[in-house]
Amino acid sequence: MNIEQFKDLTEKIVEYSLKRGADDAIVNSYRTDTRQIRFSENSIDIFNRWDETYFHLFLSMKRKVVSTTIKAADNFRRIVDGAIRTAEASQPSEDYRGIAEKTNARSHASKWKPVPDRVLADYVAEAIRVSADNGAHRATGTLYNEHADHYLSTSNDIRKFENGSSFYMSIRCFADEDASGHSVISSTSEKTFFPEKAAEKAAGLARQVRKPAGGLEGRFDSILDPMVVATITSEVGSMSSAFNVLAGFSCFEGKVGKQVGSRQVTIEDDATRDLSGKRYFDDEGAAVRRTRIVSEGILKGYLHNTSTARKFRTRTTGNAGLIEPEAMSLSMKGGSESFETMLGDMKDGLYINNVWYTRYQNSKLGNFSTIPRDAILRVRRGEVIGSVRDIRITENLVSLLKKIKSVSREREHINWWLESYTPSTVPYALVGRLNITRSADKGS
Amino acid sequence: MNTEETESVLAVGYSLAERALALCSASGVRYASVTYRLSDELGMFLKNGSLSVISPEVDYGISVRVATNGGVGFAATNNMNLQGIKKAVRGALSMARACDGTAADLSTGRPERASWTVEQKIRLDSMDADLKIKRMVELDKMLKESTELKSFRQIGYSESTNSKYYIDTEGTQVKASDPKVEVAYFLMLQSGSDYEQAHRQLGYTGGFEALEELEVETQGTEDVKALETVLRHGKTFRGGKMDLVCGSEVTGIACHESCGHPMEADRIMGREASQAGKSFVTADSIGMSVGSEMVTIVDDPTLPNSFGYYEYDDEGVRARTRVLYDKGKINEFLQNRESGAKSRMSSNGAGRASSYGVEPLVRMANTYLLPGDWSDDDIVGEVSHGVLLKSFNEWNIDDRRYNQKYVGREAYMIENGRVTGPVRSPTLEITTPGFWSAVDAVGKNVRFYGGTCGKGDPMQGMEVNMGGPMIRLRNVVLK
Repeated sequence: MNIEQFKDLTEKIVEYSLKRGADDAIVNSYRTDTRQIRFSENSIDIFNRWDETYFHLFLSMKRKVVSTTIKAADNFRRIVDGAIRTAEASQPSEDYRGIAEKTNARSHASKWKPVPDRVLADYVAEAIRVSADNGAHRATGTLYNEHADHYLSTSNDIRKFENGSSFYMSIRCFADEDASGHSVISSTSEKTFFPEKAAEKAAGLARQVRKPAGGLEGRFDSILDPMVVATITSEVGSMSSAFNVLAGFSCFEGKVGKQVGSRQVTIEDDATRDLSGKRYFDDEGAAVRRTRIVSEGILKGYLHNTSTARKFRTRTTGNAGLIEPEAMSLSMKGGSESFETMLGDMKDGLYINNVWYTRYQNSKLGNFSTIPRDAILRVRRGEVIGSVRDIRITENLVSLLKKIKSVSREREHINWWLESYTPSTVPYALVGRLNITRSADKGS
Repeated sequence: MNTEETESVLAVGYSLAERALALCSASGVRYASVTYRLSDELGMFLKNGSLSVISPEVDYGISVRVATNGGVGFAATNNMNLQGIKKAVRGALSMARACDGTAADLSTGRPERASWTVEQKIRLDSMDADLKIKRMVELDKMLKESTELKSFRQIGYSESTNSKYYIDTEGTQVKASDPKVEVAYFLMLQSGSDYEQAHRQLGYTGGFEALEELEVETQGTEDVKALETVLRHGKTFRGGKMDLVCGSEVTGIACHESCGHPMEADRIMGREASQAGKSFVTADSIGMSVGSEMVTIVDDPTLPNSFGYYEYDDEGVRARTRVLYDKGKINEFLQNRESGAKSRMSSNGAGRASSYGVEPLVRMANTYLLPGDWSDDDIVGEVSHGVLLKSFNEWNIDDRRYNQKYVGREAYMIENGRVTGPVRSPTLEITTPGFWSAVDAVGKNVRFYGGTCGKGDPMQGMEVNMGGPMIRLRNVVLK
């Protein structure tokens, strides 16, 4: 299917949906070519490729909402007929308030030249080499290269096209069985993609870990690596979705205009930036834009699609998600200090490279824990004096944000696996008296 | 799709899969496999009683995996025509040859030819969507009306009928029909400015009879009542060293997190290190003690109608029970073709892929603690001061699967052999050997709970069950 056939089919699906009785219809169509290399123990495990074309149909009929996916041109009418039959059997959504009626979004088309498989394999080989040169015995990780065409057509006569490429590497390096560091890096262009930088940082962190001591417990001033801060901002993005607020599961409900962080905390969603996660329009065709979520610690508002915006009597923030609005590309404002200065000024505390397995005991209250992994460095009088393992951060999301004392001027653009699930451009953050817990039987 | 349509589509899929394998064979690979899947799916999501969306889906595609003297290449496509298949084969070969290594030989030496089907007592395609919607709306109403407290509710329903076809250059050919049904809900109850939440996932392999078999409504009512009890009457917990009685739900999550995961061979070999992590277990750990003699934990895909049921895995290897911890000792790792080849232990049928488009990884199926001979009354009756942890909310475990945490949702004090009043959020933070070594009583009654296990990159959510009987841990610290 060439690009014109791809666009033509998208529009035909919208037209046919309306002809069959839909009140609103949106089709988001994608042609994606994704390659991925997974490597571990300094060698490639598998080289993957996904070559996919699909058409996501969203329709409403008397406020009954149906979504489905069409994968081939020859059966789209049968799939739409099925979606209409499902709508007829369904029940109206109390949340549905319509889709974007107009847009000032622009389309964007860029040329794309596939990178040879060999070049991608060489990126991995180079990252492994740099990792070894910097003291790591073993490297493990993932390299991605993706190109995607996205065409959108709606029943409100919005038709937009965007495409783009991305390069990404996640690398975890081991200097010893218990000594690891992790870093990720991404770019929208091959020219500005430097995976060896991630390898250098991850290996450097791994090298600083020396025979980590078993768990400690208490409250510690802690410098959080951008990997950790990105996990926190991803949580902020999720809690800011108006859908989650309406559902009754967000700790930000009723807090607009109130303090949810320290004055150091300014968080925005802004997918217009030329970083991985860049978008020109959301899933309704509304233009994406910069939306301030938290300004100097004050919660400014929620992220909206058209339906939630109408319910809140405001305007969409360009964050559709057709069922629920979602953060697309977050950022936390940097500060004036360098990371080195922050570390040098630390009297007694921790540096935490990464976390995983973030889970809530109570999402409405924001009570959660998450587990540090990779380099956890003990810092005294500005010097790394040792390393730690087997600890857990047990905190409250709002409390943690309020305890951020300073943020670095350096920022990294992070997304990693299940934790920092929304791409986030974030600084290092110094958190005062971070609550650290551990297994009670450790050492007993 | 009706039966006739499905048969017609499947015939095309089988034919293209076989063509793809022939193309691979002609290219001189060490090993190649082709997977074709057709999944007929329905999902819906209700928020506070309102149906947010209903999603009928038909998902299909083919993947090609080749092992060459360079490496392993894997290509997936949903372009179901000869052109799409040829492109996928070319892509897989190109990628494999771009690697500087030697792929493990994924053959097992035991080619299988089999076909398996799970009976649906109430066929999923025999019921219209409106009946399924009505059932979920009624479930929501029941959850709401089970308490006078204000509640927030999210309910997800999903079903899929998965037709699978796996063939390889070794001569294996396995066809399967694997229907899954899942109901999950997320509850939040409010009492003034106080809140408690619960998440529940129940899964079944079979037809719409799942809702009766899983006793979804009964479980939902119990969960609402438990939250209300804790909110209205729960006392602040005062921690210390004491005995802990875990209900089946807590036993199950511990089996999954601190036995099933660390026993995955790919994790042990470092294959998942940059995502789902590693393991405290090493290749030399067979026979190492991690628990008391009462602790025997198995992973068993062959339990009829269980959420993790299968007869052959997604690499065409026959399923069997794996004894992971045997009387407290590390016994057998979970293996797929790749880890089996690398470790020279061979696959034991644990290779699973969440869709046609992703590589099969080492996965659990139904992981549980084998029952003992204690009655629940006797387990509690011999506790002078302790806690009964019936269920949990927050939980996590480090990426070596060594330090874990379970925070109680429904929990009660036990005093002088009797369950007394509810307590709020007692917290167990403990090592894996610390947990399993403290077990001194194992109950008779095994109960299972569903879950979606996450692993891999791209992340693959996999249907699993986890469970076991009530157990007692002596002298552990609760916070």
